[in-house]
Amino acid sequence: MPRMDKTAWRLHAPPSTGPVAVIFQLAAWPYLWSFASVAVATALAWLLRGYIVDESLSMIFLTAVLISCVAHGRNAGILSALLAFLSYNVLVLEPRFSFRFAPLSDTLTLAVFLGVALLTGGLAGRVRDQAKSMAARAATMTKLFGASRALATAVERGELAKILADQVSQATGESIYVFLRTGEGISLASYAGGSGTAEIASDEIAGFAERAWSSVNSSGARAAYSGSGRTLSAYPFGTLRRPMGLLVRESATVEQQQAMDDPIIAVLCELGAIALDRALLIEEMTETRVHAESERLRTALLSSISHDFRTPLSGILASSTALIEQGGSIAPEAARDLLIDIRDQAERINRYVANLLDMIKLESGTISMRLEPTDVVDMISAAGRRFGHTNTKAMARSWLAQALPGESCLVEADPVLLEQAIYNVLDNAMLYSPPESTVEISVHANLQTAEIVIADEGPGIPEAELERVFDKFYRLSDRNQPQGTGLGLSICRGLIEAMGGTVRAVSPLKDGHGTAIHICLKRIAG
Amino acid sequence: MGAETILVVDDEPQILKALHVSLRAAGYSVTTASTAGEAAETLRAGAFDTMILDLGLPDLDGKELITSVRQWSDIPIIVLSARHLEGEKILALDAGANDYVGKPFGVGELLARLRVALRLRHNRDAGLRGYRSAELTVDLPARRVVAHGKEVRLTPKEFDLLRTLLHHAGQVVTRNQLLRSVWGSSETRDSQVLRVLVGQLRQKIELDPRVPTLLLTEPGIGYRLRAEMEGGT
Repeated sequence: MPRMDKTAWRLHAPPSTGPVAVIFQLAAWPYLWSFASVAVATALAWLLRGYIVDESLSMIFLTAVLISCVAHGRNAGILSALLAFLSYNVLVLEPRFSFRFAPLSDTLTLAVFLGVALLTGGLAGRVRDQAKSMAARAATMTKLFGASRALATAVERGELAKILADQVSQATGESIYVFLRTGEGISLASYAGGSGTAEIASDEIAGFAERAWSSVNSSGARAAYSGSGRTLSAYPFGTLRRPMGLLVRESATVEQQQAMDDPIIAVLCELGAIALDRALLIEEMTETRVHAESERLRTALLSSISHDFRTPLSGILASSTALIEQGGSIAPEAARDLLIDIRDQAERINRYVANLLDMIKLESGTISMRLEPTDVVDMISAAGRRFGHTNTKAMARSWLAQALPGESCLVEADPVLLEQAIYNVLDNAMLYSPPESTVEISVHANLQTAEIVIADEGPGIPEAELERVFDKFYRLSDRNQPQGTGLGLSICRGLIEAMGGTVRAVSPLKDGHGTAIHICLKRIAG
Repeated sequence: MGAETILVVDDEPQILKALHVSLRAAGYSVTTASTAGEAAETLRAGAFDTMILDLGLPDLDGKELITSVRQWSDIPIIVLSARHLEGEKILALDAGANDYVGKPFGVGELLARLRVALRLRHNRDAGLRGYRSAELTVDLPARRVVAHGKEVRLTPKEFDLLRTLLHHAGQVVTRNQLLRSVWGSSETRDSQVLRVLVGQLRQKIELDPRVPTLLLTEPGIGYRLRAEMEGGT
């Protein structure tokens, strides 16, 4: 955008756009205007010659001088003043069409014209200058606000570098390269172009950046380099804790003109540095959290394996060695009991291994799902069948509130994994239910969702732990309760969520007892 | 009639030992093999009534062994396969295995599957005319079905489905096998036809179609008609 760059005026903000403004940007225009205004004044004076006394006609010329000053500044005003004086003298005053210099009155006239031109021109110019510079400042402020907001929302290093480069490039209209620190050196993180040159920093720019980086001593001090018709400037930035990077500006103008933008660039770099610092801290914090969680899991896994393998194994070893060593002295009934124990403990280990494998597959994302329209009711029956007659607890099933009775309740799911998820919840419910109680399974469906609810009459879950029951290896804090492996519900949630559904726990149900697990899946048309 | 002969193929010596003891005690004559090569040789050399085959053999993929055996023998094959390898089980069943038992297994379950396999083989040789149990009575030549004391009318496809399941009563039948048997081809654009037909059949023969006790779903694999004692002629 062209700037209004006259000799004594240095304006930083380009004037507003538009056809009228374009006309006003022609450099010679102000002087033409001086001619024009004086010409108009002359015409007017000529017309009014008969009606107003000659000396008063000078006011019209004075007005022309005034207008020139206000519109175009002191120089145009002086030119107007001289032209006005000449025109007044030659064309208006008697004798007309001749120049006659009467010492006192003409000197006075000329002096007044020039004085007005100088004073008004100066004042008007200063006022206009101030207005323009305030408008420029306001624009800068708006841009800085925008930049600050943009930098505040981004959290990733690459993104931040891009925003910084864009903002500085917009503010200066030039090519900007942002280098971020990597290890001991720096590497190009982002580029924003003013004139569409290559995205990759040329060797020249990269070399300059590296030299500047190695000699950086304080933020704000900048190195400069001129050559081959352009100027490169480097602006290092960082926080008190650490230097973070370098911004290189490539511009076609001379170094001193570049210096005008320094304050803006400095502010943007500061904002950028703060945002980058924040991004780094967030990264570190996330890493720490992830690390802590892995630690917790590893500890829980070791403790679980140690307990949940060893306990049944001890039982098996004890029972089998008793039968081997003392077989003869053990009554057949008691011997059979021991054998039943061995079987039960082995099955317990089997279930535990299955759970561990499921958990590991879920964690590592290697669960292979084969989604297909699956009948929820069918899977509930299949899961329920696995319990056979080994439990004293009844399994009551009710199908409530089907939106369209007679239609099957289909969801998009992997049938094997859905059945496993339901089995896990049932297993849990059976474990925690008192003997002779009922575990109720129901299906609630509307047009969009199918909800499987498995409710037991067990001790219930305290409100604070309703979400935590789904954590891996989580067991109820009350040690008097039967202890499961702590994996069943976690696996259920993992499987269901992998199918796009949700699982939650509701407790207590009645009189402070009971837990209901709700499995929600999206329903599909049959 | 001598004791029925079983070939047990597994690379785990403890499993072989346990099964040998158990099957002998159940009255069967047992031969063991620990590799596929050994199994193939042994099969060719002698006559067996059933083969129990572990799918995790070291030298040959179980499915390939089944395919090659099926080219010259229709001996009932029961496969042993680890949990959650449904894909593996389906491939084995579609290649010609008759049933599967998940590992680790309880011997009781294996013996039950074995009995079913032997019975079905006998029925097939003798010609199956029907099925009788407390809940379900079917007269195949007459196409007459009585469920829970009430006669039910089945559509042709429903009857085909029931008949296929009866021919494998007690054994799992894969979806592909059912599609081929009822619709003539396992290539079908609508993967839901089978599910819908099963639902319709359940409506007619089950006491509570939502909690089936006769026509059971094996998730991810297929369906199984629960076996009762008499296969009856």
